[in-house]
Order: sequence, then C-alpha cells, then structure tokens
Amino acid sequence: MGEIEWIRPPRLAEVVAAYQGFAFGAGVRTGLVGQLVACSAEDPAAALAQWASEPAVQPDLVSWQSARDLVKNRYRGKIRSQGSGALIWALPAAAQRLGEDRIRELVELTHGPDSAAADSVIMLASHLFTSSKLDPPDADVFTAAGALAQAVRGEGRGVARAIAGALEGGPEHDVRLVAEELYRRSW
Amino acid sequence: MRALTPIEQLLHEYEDDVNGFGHHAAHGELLIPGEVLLSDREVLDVYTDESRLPAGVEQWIRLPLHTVLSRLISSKPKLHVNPGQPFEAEFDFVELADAAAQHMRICGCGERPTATREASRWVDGEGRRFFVVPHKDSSRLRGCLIGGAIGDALGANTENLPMEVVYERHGPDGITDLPEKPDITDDTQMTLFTFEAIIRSHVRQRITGEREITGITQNAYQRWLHTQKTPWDKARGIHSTMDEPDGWLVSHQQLFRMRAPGLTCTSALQEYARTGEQATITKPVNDSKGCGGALRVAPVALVDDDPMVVFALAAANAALTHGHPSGYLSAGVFAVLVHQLLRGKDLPDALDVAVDSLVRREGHEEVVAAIEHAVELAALGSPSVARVEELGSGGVGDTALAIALYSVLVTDDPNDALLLSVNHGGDNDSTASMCGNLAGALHGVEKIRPDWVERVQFREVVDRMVADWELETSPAAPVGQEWFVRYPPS
Repeated sequence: MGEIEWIRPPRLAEVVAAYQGFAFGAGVRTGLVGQLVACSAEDPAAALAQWASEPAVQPDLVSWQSARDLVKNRYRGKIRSQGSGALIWALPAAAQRLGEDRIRELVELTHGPDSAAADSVIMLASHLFTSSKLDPPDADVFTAAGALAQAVRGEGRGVARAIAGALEGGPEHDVRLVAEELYRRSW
Repeated sequence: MRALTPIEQLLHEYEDDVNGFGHHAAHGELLIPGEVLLSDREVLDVYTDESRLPAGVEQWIRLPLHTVLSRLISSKPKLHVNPGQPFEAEFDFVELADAAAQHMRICGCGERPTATREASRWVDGEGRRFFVVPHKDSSRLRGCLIGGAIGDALGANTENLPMEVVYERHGPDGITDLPEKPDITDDTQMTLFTFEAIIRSHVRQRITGEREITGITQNAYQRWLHTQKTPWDKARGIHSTMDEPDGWLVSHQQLFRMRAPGLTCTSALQEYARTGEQATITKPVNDSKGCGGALRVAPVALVDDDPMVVFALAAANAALTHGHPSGYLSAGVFAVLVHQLLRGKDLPDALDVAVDSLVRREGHEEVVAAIEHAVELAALGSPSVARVEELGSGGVGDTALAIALYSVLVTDDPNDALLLSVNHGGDNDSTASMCGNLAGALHGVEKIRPDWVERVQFREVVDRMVADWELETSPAAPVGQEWFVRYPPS
C-alpha cells in the first residue's frame, strides 16, 4: 500500500494553472487560498499554525480550528472530519508527487487521523495533472467525496468551486509565485 | 382544605421527638411576625403558615429553621410553634439546635453556598431585613427571548407557504409586520418550557447541590406535550407519579393550544412517556434532523460560563427528540451563539467559539457546510429572498441555523433581520424565531420595534421569567415555599 503511480512529473504551467484556477474558483473565500499557500509550504504544520494565527476571510472552518490546535492543544477532543476542505491538500501533493502515506499524514494535520477525506484527496491528487477522466462516485455534498464529485461536474461552491477551478485552470493570480516555488522545491 | 406544610407534617410525625423533628426539619420554613428577627427575647413565636399568623399581622418573615437557630444562638430563646393553634409545639433551643446541627453535619448542606448565603444575608447592622438583589442588564436576554417570539409570530400564518402565496397575502414586500393577532407557535412554547427547565434545574442545584438539566428538561417537554392535547397520564411518563403537571408556566391556559406542533417532537416525547427511556446522542430516538431540536435551546445558553458545556447540554437537549447529528449539533451551535452574544461578543467571534466545539463532534460536516454557506452569502451583501432560499427551507436544523445566521450577519438591525428570515417559502416561523433569538441577543430588546415587543403574545410571561431567572441566580435567591411551588426542582 501507499504508493501512487505517478506517470510523469507535472509541468510548471500545469501547476501554476491549477493554483491560479483554485484561487479563481475560491472567489471571495480568500481564506481557502491562504490555506493552500500554507499547505504548500516546506513545513506545512508550522505554516498552518501561522496561517491560523492571522485573520482569514472565510477559511475552511475545520482546517482553521485544526490549525489552531497545532499551536495550542485544547484537550477538548481531537478533530476528525471528512469535510471538503481536505481536498486542498491534493494540489501540493500532486505537484510534489507525494506517496499515499505522506498524503494521509498531511490530511491528518487538518482533518484528523484516519479521515475518510484522505481517499478523496488521493484520488484527486493522482488525477490532477493527468489526462485521464476523473469519475468519483456521488456522495453527500458536505463531505470531501461529495465536493470532489461536484467539482468534477463544475458544480457546488466554496471548496468544490475552488477545486473545479483547479481542474480547469484560471487567470493570473499572485498564488502563481507559490506554485512556482513549490515546483522548484519538488525537483 | 389546604395541604399541610412540610413543617406541619414533621410536627405531626415527630410529635414528641425533638431529635427527629430537628434532624428532619432543618430546611423547613417558619414564619415570624414582624420585619426583623430580634434576638433579645425568651420565647420566640413562630408559625407554620400564613393562615395561622395572629390577626392584624401585616408583615412577617419566612426562613428556614436552621437560619433561625444560627441567628439566635447567643440568646437561645424557646421556640413556640403555632401558639394556641393546631400543630402547637414548644422546643428548647439547645435541644433543637443540636438535632438540626447533627443534620447539617451529616448531610453537608451547611457547607453549601445556599446555606451560608441564607445565614449571612438575613439582617444588616441596623437590624433591618436586608435582601440585596443586584441589578443586571437583562436587555440582551429579553431581546433574545422576545425577539424569538416575534419572529415566531411573524411567520406563524405562513409556515411552508410558497413566496407567491405570501406576496399575494401581504403585498410585494412580503411580510412586513406582525399579524393582527400576534400569537406564537410551538417554537416559542417549547423555548419557554426550556427556560422553565433551566430555572428549575438551578433551583435543584441550589438546594441539593446536584446538577441535573437534561432530565428536568425532559420533564418540561412532557408538560408541553400535555398542553398539546395529550392527557397528563399519557404525557407525564412512566417515572412520574404526579397527579397533575406542576409549576407556574403550565398554569397558563393560553399554552394549551395546538400551534402546529412538530410531529417529530410530539412522537419522540410520546415514546418517552410510553417507555421512560430518555433519548441520547448515543441512543437516539430517531434519525431526524428537523429544526425542532435547535429552535428551542436558546435558554440553554444560561446554564454555564463554559461554551463547551453549553454546546454539550444543548446537543443533549435536542437529542431528546432529534437523533441525527445535524439535528442536535445545530442546536449546540445555536446555543453557543446565544451564549456568546449575551456576553457582548459580536457574531463572527461568537461563531468562532461555536465552531470550535462543533468540529470536534462526529457528524459535524453538514452543519459546518451550512455555516460556511451562510457566511459566504452574507459576505456578498444585498440580502434577498433568493439568497435566503438558496440556503434551504429551514425545515432541518442545519438550514434553519444557516438562515437565522445569514439574516443576522447580513443586516445591521434586528427588525430587518427578522423580516429577512421570515420571507421565504420554507419553515419561516422557525427560522425567524431563531433569527430573533440571535438578533435580540446581539442588539438588545431596545433595538426591536417597540410595537412588536408590546404586542407579541406571551411577552409578559417572558418578562416574568427573565425577572425570576435573575432573582433565582442572585445572592438573594428565594427560599420560600411559594418559589418551590412556582419552580419545583424536578
């Protein structure tokens, strides 16, 4: 278990297009873009903690609270979620061609251990920069699996809309610099 | 013929047994004519009931036996109960105080704040009766409860009607005012019973030290069920042996009206009455995520300073009748929002606190998504019917919460928020009721249209209960028999 069969490394233009498309799809929810930037950092845990310490506009609420817990363990119960915000991990995971185990570790940072969302993240990551058709099964729209299905159909809002943007590509956006830096780091 | 007071029953039971009487009657109440408890007399006349007081006595004080004993320890007068009347008895102070002290030591009640408070508050330095009831600003709490009632009444006649019908009935702006007869529905009825349960559980904790909220709330909802044409012997539950429902709230005959009671609630409460098994999150009564669990929990915000505790109690409350996570977790969020708003937080900060509790609960995803949707739409501004309806119909907990939240987030005025939350083709009395709870807690009652506040049904009952809550939670919480009849601790 644990390894995704990466066919070929993504091209820089593909990574940039996905990041810009994500930012375009996120629209007013710029907090999602901030989260993508943190998830793309060299030390995602530290970057998420930093991200959660500053104001954000409409972030993924589950990730936001989890990131706070990275700084301050509240001893009030672990967060364990299959929410849609986990899908954000698919972008840096695909750009860096991470293994399944590492992707699950990253998803655990925001969505807790053994999150069902990890499967959807892996599915999206392994298809993101390929030409194969992504055909996820239908699921409740408030889960990562459901949001992925919506995104593939170009439906939904919030994270689903942002992921739909990543799949389609988007216009120029500052997040390009993050994509370029990540791309360089992954080589 | 009136019932015997507890002290009379004990006098009868322990007729010649000062130890037995003192041991059991320490918390029983006696009446002392006059305005102050004097300490320089050899015999103190005390009475067991107002009807036994001597003719012409216009003022008296009522206090527990242990307080009488602790206050008169220096002079040690004889205690003469009901001189010349039924249940007459005379006690040597020392003998009686020994027996009462034994009780206080054994049961530990002398250590409880209620006992020490009672003993310390009695007479001031000049010998005057001295009750301190600090004034609290109740504007937000009144706003919360009255705002909820107004929202409920605004939508009472158009619940689940399409907007086309609403426009036809009310004109192109939809609902803009309270109906001529501004009656509330089951939403506010249940909220009132929740509030009553919170007061009664506080009374219970004060006199026994035991905290029991959800069980007392279950009993309150069984009384509500009785108001909905369920005979008391079918509504009270198999654990109750009471011949009739108790307490002050249920004595309001106007509550005995079927105001579109939710079927999920009534069937779950009937199930409890039949089986005696209280539904919980881990032992759900059904799989319903209807909004009936959330719309009634605003008063749960009063029970604790810790929002996590409020969340847990509100979720447990909703789980009495609604077993799906989106039904009871939306209740947890809603109660924490009210909790934070009552403390002066703004809505985004309150939401932050509520979500912190929410995301740690299993099955939170749907409610999180609803909240994110509401916040996303609110950020776009330009409130409209279409945007409200985009959030759903309000029939389930998560969408009702989303509509209420959206309406308050996107407006600056509680009246605008109320009208926004009521003008849609779904469960609009529930969404407007929840919106009213939030908007009233955020802005205070003064910001709500005075004519609405004045006219809405049960406003006097809400005001009375708010005053009672403040008294109950004050250092001068009542110890009189009437109070425990008004809010029995069960």
